Amino acid sequence: MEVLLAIAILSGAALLAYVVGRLSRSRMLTGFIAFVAIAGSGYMVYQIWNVLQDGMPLGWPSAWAQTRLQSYLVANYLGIFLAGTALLLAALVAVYSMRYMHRRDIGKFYALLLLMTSGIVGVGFAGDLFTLYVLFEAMSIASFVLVAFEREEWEPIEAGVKYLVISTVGSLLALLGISIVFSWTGTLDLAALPSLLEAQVGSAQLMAVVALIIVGFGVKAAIVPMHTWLPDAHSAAPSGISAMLSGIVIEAGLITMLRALIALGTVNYGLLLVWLALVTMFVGNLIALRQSDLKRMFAYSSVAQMGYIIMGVGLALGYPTLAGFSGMRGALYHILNHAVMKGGAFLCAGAFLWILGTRDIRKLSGIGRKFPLMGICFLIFVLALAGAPPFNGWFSKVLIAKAGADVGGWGIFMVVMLVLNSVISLFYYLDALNTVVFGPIPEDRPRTLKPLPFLVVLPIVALAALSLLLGVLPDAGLVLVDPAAEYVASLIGGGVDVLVAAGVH
Amino acid sequence: MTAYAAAGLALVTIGLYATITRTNLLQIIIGLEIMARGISLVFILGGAQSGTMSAAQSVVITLILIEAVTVAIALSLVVAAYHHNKSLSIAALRRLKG
Amino acid sequence: MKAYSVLVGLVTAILTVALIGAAGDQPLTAVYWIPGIDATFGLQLTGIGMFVAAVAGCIGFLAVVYSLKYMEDLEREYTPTRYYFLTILFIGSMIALALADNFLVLYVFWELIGFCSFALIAYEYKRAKARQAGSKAFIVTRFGDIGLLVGIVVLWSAMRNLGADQPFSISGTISAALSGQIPLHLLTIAGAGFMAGAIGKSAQFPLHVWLPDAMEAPTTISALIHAATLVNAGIYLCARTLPMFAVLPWWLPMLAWVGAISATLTAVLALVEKDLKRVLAFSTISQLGYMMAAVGAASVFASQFHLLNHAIFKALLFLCAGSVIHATHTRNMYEMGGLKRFMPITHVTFLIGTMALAGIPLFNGFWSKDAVFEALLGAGQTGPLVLLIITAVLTAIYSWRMYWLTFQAESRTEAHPHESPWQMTLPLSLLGLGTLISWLYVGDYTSKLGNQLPYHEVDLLEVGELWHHTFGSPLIIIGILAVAIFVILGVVWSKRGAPVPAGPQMWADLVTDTKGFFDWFWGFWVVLMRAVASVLSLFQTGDLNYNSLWLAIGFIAVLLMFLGWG
Repeated sequence: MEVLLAIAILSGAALLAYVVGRLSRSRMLTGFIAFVAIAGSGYMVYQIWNVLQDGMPLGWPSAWAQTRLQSYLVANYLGIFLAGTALLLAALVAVYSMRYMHRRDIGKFYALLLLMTSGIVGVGFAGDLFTLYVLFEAMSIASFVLVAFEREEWEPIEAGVKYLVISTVGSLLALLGISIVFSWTGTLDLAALPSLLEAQVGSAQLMAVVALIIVGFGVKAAIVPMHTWLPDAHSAAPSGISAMLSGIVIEAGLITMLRALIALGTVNYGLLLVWLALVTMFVGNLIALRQSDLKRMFAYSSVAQMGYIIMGVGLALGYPTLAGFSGMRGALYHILNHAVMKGGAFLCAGAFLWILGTRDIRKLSGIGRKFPLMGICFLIFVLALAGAPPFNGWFSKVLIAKAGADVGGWGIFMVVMLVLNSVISLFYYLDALNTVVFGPIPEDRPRTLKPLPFLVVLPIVALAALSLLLGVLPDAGLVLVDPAAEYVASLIGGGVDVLVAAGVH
Repeated sequence: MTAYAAAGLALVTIGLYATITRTNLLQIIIGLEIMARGISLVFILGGAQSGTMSAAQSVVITLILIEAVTVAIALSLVVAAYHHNKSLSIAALRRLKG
Repeated sequence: MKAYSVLVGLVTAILTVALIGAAGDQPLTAVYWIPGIDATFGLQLTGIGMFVAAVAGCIGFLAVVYSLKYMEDLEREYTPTRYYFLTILFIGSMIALALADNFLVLYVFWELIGFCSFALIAYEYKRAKARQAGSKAFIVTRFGDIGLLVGIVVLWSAMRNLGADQPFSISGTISAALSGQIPLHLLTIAGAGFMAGAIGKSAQFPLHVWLPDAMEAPTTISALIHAATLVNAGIYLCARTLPMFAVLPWWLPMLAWVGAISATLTAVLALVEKDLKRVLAFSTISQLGYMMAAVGAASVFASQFHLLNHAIFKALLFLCAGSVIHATHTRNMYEMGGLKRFMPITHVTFLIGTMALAGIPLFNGFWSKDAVFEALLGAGQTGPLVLLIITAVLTAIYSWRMYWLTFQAESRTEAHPHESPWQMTLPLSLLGLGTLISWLYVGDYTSKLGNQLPYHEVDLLEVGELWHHTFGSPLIIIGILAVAIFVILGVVWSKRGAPVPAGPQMWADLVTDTKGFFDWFWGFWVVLMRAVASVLSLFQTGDLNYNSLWLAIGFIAVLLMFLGWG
């Protein structure tokens, strides 16, 4: 019930936001409705948390329990983690967009934002593969429109078309895999599938299905070579949406993939994911070196950051007994951190875009001097992304590195590669920092620039503060991350013994 | 049964082939639709094989719905792209790269 | 705000000095920091750490006092708040690093001083060179930190498998390693990693390229980086983990060689450098090489004693250089000369620092340098010892050259030099005094150096013993040699004038600008990286068909990998 409500509040409010936005044309009012809906959904997630903490079954009224909805959505800590992260970012983006968006069709914007958020909240709780797919598509479809929201410009349209086609091809491939599984077993229940598929383990058909799932959902998770849509879409979207896309949508794609893969049982795809992660982080970081567009640079850096996350996931899946818990923990914590730091970085880039109307790093030169608060926030996000303490990125990277060390042997080699990548990333992060914040102010820039609205500044400062908090006191994030990591570890066979060895109990 | 499965997979392959080789946006979208039809076929087949036709039916109907929404959005984007470029060819959509 | 900074600096200095006396046998209680991974935020008053912290606190305080006047010129352009904030953060982080009782805390502060140095080197951000130097320092040191982080997680994982309740504890890890519980291959990885981290932070060969460029920082910050904080961290780390890695047969000799090679290479470069601050920078790398080699000789005493003495005389030299630059508005020594008439206090203190650097007997640098030689001789590390003796001769030559070009001979400056105000000369005088007498403290020093370090061997040494040791050893010849070089060069140059820049200076500039061509070596890799990046970006064609094709290729690749692995 609570799970359903957490999703339904958002979808229902989407409708309301559209109507209100259409009638009143008030950005503040529509945004406020969205914010309240997100807060309400957050409250529901908190209720789910409470119920799970008490170890009691969710309070389904008997009438509800008769329906099959109960099995379609399953309360679990992974879902709580994803929903919590998504709602946090979505709430800040909703506030940010109240002043940032200056369009008449604001109702549509907030409706789609809420719809997208409801999809993200849902994929963590989905109980069967088709529900997973439907919620995933709800998220995707809303994001297609949001990317191409400013349709008077050529750039969002081009990015939107590419995003739509690639993403749809990807999700259809994944759906093909799901349909094949359905034709074998006649069920799509995530909990029931592993035992039903045991007979298939090691067969070429199951491998083909796993490959379809990895490639299909990997499109959204920006695994190289399926990442090609990402830099276009993330840089062309309105900045609040870029923050959502980078901060949580691609991670939701990864979690969708993870849930599907776990259900498919024990093929050794962990190793494969680690190699894909390696390629992903190198490609993302290296191409980011060449970008002159701030948002495009951040987009490529998202590809690289997904590489770090997938490395943690891959190590966990590949070696559940050695690194099942530590790898998942690192990966999930990095998802949380990435939502904070990359979300903040995109909102910051958006603020600069709002002031100067350009995303070109060289044309933004020195803007951080003129707006010192934004400059400091930008510095925090960039250093957090580079993994420098005391900002938040460092801790999750250490956790992922720990997973590699737990695996030992070539796992340590992977750790070296991961840390090497964060050094490579410093080249472009520091370049951007040195230009955007410390660079000289161009002669031809007007002396007086329009001031930033308070509601644009507020979410950025909040994320910067959160970045500092999570960096100084990483335990704050572990509260949310650890139950989710434990849940996944127990699913993939990192049993209680492993958790004891990892020092949890 | 095998023939249905083969037909489904063939449709998916044809659809994917279309997205790789066609340069006209509408043809690419038709390719997507062909893929979706192939997948529907596999679902129906699965329902028939495992005796869970009711589940398969609901899945396929939902799938059609999702495809309809996707295509509607795709077509609106194509219209917008046509307004910008006066062309339906993807050759006009190659400015974002590198 | 300035008064506040000075106050904070003063309190810090007093507290860090008080810690030395207060050090008991009990480790400080630690608060839980990240319970989820059993990490505490613990501090421990180890002998080595206390002195490193005291150096950071005291020299940091003097640098802050000195900044009051020195930074005035810059205050119109750059906000002093940022300067003092970062300086105090820098000093504080270094103190925390030195007192950390576990690797995770050490890592965090290790990175934090890296960040502070980046921000402070690029303090004058309007100059492109300063920005680049800051980024370079950050990137190069973090390149070394790859090793440190890998080492820390490997040790963490190993300790976790042993079931330790404090998996990050430094002393716990050392005792586990000594009892053979940590597998040797993991210890090897950690040893190599820690060494890489220390080489990066302490600017040793081949990662020494960032330090000379870091001279773009305000001179007070250079003094902090070189004497009080950043570069000492690497030496501290090696000395602290010495017992653990001494188990590895290659670790100590490798360290000695790295130190010796760095020392020699940069001493050669210092011989021909024309920029006063960069001579000092090269000399810092060279002196750090001595400390590294001393750790390589398994002598905690020699390395830490030299660290202490070096911190004092190098801070003195930098602050003197700051005073000179303040007066002449140039850093090029060929445009100085004859300053002894205008700046008597700076002149005398600088001469004291120079003599300590060159190892003239009775100045503090002499004693600790001799201890390094003794240690290497005792450990049988002949190769590094020979290199370091050659370096000692070179050091005497470049020290004298630096002093001569700046203060002696006729004035070549176009500015009107004058003595600096008391805020600047007071720290100079205090440091000069320290340079003269710090070695007298050796008895107390060695007795406290072994505090809470059950696995280190520290010899107790009284001043008298030090005297006998040093003057009774054949290695005293090096001290005599240094005096001889000073005398001979002084006589020759006062007759024929110091060597003037001529045709070859161009080549000298080339060699010193590239730090012995190592900028080119690393630059090659950066260029290669960028070349690979441009090739990769060609694959982002922007064509929709290709994008779909990549999906198909991805699918086939994944499938093939599966089938290949079975």
